[in-house]
Amino acid sequence: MLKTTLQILHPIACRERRMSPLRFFACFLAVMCISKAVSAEPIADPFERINRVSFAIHQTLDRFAMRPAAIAYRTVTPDFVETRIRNIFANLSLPAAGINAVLQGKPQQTLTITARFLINTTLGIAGMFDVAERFGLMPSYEDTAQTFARAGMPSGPYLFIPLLGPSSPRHLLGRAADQFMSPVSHLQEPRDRNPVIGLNLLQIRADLVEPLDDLTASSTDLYASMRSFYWQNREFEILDGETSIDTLPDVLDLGD
Amino acid sequence: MIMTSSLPPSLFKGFSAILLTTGIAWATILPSAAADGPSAEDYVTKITQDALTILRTHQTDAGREEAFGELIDRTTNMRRIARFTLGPVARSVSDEELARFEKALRNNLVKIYANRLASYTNERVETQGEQKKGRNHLVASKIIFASERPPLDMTWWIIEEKDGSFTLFDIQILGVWMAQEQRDIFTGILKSNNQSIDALIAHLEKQPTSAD
Repeated sequence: MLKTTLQILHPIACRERRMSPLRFFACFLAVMCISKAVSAEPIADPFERINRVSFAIHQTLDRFAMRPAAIAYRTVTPDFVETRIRNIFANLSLPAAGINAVLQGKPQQTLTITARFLINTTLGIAGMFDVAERFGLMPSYEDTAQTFARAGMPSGPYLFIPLLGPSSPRHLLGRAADQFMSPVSHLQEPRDRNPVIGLNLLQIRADLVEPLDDLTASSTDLYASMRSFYWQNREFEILDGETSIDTLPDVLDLGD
Repeated sequence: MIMTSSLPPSLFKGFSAILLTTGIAWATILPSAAADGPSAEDYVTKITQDALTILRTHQTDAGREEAFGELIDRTTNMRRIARFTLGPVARSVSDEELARFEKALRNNLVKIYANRLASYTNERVETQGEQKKGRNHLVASKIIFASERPPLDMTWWIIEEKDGSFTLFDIQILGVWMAQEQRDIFTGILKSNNQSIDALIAHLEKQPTSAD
């Protein structure tokens, strides 16, 4: 779809040789907004052997460094403070979410995200408190990888990268764009930026202690479980959390 | 596990929620009462009530496992779940092999999740309407947590059998179908073992018997 979009725009740009970047962007946006055809993709893991090695490295790092650090962090941090930290980072992600809502042609969601950001940044004291939810503005997120998907870009193969976790080329590209749009990445000094990023990572890992412990204890193949969870969840989010009965596989004849 | 600040919070929240609730999902897929209720939505309500009753009344691991085993036998069509999770291999296995796999799958699910569910006694599930197409029903619901955690969306795939009764086929939490996850795992195990169902059964039988 992205390729098609550019093919559509190319002749327009050629005809109007003086087309400004702003106009080109506006045209691109217009075409993007009508690109709604999104379909689920099956898991493609052609690099499974390499991915499993990466997964093993990641698990080792997690076992001896990340998980102990997360548990120590949780031990010394009151729940109230953890919630405030979660809220702050969720709020910081909203500028990128808002831009992606625009690119995906979702005006209502754009307004919701914008209003949430404005309210929580001000009344919510830099995002610490989710005041917007009390006004009926429920959390809503979009990311750049979802925008790419809605524009028709294929996900590419499944990838597992140590410290980064499950991903795909499309998702990696999207993450890079999201990172660029994050206010945190625009902190000039590494001594200011790195502790903030580190705190976010610590909070994220701390929130996953029990879930991952449970999954590790019960999964028949942890790598495959993680891959399935990641892939299905991403598809679900790209489809805006809609589950249609029309897309279910035919299983009726599999029973007794 | 996913360690980057550039990931969207929704992914973290979703992933965490999925992992957190896998237990209760399978917990509630295991229970279910024989229900000739008027709708699939009523059936789901009954299932969740039965699940919580078991969790609250059986204090020992053995007791919970036995109760869940009985429920899964009564209310799910395990043959259908077994065939689905096997994927295309299901077409080439004998009836005897399929029966052994079905038993191993059932025992594996019961042992793992029945014990984990001990901590899920105060949650409740509220149904919120259903979609119907042919014999397939999708029932939307929310898990309401006793703690301050926000409610979580959950979808139940109920199948109307030819005799008119309902059976539970799968549960989806934040986009993740549990049976599909099992299928993804089994596909990999079969692939790395030359499509041997005996290897898959052995793999299931050697799995941990509880989430310690």
